[in-house]
Amino acid sequence: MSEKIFNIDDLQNINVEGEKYIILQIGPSHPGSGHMRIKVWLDGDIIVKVDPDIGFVHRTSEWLSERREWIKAIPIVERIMLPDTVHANLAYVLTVEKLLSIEPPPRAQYLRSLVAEINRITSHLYGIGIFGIFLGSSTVYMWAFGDREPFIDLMEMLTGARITTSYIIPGGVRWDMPNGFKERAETVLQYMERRLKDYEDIWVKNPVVQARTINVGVLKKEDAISLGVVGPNLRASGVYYDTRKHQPYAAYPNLDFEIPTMKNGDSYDRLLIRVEEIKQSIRMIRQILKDLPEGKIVADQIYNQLNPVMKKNYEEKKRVMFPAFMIHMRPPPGEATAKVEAGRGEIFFYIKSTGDKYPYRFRWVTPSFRNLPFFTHVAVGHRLADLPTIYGSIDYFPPEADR
Amino acid sequence: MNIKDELLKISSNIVIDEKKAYYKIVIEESAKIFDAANSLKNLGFDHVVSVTGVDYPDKVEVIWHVSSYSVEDLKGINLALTLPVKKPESVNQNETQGNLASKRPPVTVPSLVKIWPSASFNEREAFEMFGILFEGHPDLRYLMLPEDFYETWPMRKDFTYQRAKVFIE
Amino acid sequence: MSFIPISLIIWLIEDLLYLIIFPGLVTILVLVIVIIWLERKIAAKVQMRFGPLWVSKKIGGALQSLADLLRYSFQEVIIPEKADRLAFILAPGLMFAFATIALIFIPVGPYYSVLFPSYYTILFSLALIIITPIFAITVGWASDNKFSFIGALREGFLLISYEVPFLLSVVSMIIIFRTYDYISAVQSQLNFLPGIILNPLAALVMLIVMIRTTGRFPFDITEADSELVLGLFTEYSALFFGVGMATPYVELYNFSLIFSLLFLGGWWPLNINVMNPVYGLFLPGLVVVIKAFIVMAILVFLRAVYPRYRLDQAVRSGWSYVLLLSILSVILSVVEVMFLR
Repeated sequence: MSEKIFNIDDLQNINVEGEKYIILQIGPSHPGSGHMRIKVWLDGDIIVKVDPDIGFVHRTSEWLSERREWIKAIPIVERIMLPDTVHANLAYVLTVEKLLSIEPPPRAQYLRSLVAEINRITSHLYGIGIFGIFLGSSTVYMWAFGDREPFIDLMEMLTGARITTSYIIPGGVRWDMPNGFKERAETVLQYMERRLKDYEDIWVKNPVVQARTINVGVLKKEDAISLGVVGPNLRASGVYYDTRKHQPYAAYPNLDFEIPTMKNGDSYDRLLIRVEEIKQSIRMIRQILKDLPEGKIVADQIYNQLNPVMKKNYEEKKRVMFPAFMIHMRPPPGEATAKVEAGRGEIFFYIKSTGDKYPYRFRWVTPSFRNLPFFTHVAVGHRLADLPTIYGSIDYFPPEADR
Repeated sequence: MNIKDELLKISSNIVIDEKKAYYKIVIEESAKIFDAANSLKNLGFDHVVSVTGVDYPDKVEVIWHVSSYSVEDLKGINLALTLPVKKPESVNQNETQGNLASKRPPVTVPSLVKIWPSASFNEREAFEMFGILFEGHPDLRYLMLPEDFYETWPMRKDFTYQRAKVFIE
Repeated sequence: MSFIPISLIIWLIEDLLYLIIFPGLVTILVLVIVIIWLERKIAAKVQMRFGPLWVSKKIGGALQSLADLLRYSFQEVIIPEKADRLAFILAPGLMFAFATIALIFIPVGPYYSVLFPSYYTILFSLALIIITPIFAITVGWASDNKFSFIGALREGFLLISYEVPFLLSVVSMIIIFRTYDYISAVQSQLNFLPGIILNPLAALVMLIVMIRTTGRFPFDITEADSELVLGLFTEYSALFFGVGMATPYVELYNFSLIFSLLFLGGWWPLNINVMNPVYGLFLPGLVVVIKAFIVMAILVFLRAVYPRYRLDQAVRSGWSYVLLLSILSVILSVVEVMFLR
């Protein structure tokens, strides 16, 4: 294996002229590529240069949001980060709340953390499933996608929708927790803990998986920091950083959880860390269900603006109909940023408002976009069969990288 | 460390709003941006979160959001390193004729890829969306937009489909 | 008519029946259809889903492969413009043909012989089995596609690495049984012990090579789904594709027959002393085929357990561990022959 090339100048100056190198376009319609094209220069079986060609699902979310009302950005942002909709929703609403200077009540904060952790489990299961099918095991793929279903049913019980819930609004959340939810959630969590043992037997301790992922795609700690990668990939390389601890939001200051970090930074560590994070999420959900405080689910400023019919609806059914007045919401002029730790990494929002009915500048960066240097820097020097391994282990999701 | 004092050493134009988690430092001239970025890196800001632009009628503000993974005090800060650049005069003043690109020429700014390698893909996106040419970027080409969007700079406020003559079915 | 003896005509008709019905083409067809369905059903059972179900719902979807075969027969034949036409059209058929011809020389009963009785059936069947992967490389070359080409290269590497251990393990069984004939090998096992107890190392090597040659997981490297689109058969459609997908199962059947004849005791526990078609061919043949089918089902089950290896890991292990095991098995059988005279 050729030695690691890291310096960005060296990478750009690799000479790939001539007939020695095969150009392989792992293109958009390929089982192992997702919605992007990966252009690979091969010297025999060794990868010499990788050029990710993204933009096939670019949906211009920033351009659209700058020409739509403030509340209409929630569905746009949700449908781009599809396995992880709650975190995108939460990040946007946190930024808008900073502009509006509204603080949601404690019960709403806990409910926000609850849906966020359930969504983190489904997002990690999605990542494990895709990793499995890239390595060739359809068993883990079917199991992971089947095991998402109990959690998505929980989301439906709590919010009314399966995946694109639009549950979090500026000021609080929309529905309250129904009766019977706590018992149902406990059953689901026990089921998941039993299934995690099955996953460990057939996947984590599988000798073929260990042979294919140990020491493949190693990213050392200094490289991880300077390349700016995010999420479990960063923690697998040994960097102790999690937005839930270092820029806390929602109910995380009150919860007791650990952040696992690994030492080697290879693909096997990135697999192990996702399993560990599922265990931590289960622990957090149990704490939330135990400590849930009573109270309103929307802030007082929002509640006082509901008309009497909506207030009666709220008292009876504990639901806030999406208030029509939010269509004309105009936050005062200013700029704000917010960061949220999604399943794949951290989402960053920067919004500038001039008091108009549309945002003036709507900027967001998703975790997959910041994980792109894995292709150009880490895959070089490995064999062709290691490209799906690295791709699957970083949990890269093309629609959210293109936004 | 006191963030405010450290930032004041680099530039006198700073805005800090703790409640909105908004830290901003403005560098007025593009010649000084490289040294400012170096001093920020020595302080402990070690990666770039996003590179973007904000379009005003007379200038384009280039913003690098930086943060830190290794220094404990700085882990919770998103610092916006801002550089306002005046738009150059457009060549053809006639609104209805001529190539759109000649009326909206790009702005030129030094690239910070040598200091922070994590800015590489972000700067490519800012180039194609706003028309910001980063000098010194090793591989500045279009990232997401196809070829018929060359030199149309979609995210500027004076972009419409009809004027850019982009084919939409 | 007097100088064409009746026994010659009966002999020809008998051979034709053996070739077509049992243990010939009809048996192969039925077994391939059943094993493809069984593979999908076993994988589905492990993966918490149903598998093929709707085609013939009362028997659990068992006719699904037949429905697939019909669908392949009616699809449009697409040949790429720059492909090598002759090789493109002929290579899958030749692959299937050579895989099927090897069955002529594998006797499933002591009364079995096609065209002439022979004392060298092991060597003949091995020679025909080893030719088949060459046509796989031709298939990869003929379609003008980089992914098929890389698949053909991988097949070439793996073919060479695992051929020598295979031959050495068969050689070690030849040393123990002291014959080049399957029927005498089974007779020695009926008198003494099955081959798997006499030389377990050779059995292990043979199992590993079986998994490699037929492309079962974890050696699914030539048709790696996530790196090469479908490996060798990327550009194929219609019946060429169906034949190409069915050939590994025919090869699997061949290997399983050899395995059950050399290692599992053949038609044990039937001890044959009457030589006629029913007792000499049909009943022992049934026992052998059932044993082969069980071996096939076990190998096909591995799809649900293992992902696939990388090319250089498989090649390296073929030249190091598996070769070492096969040399040790030869030494083991030499030692046994010397001391258990």
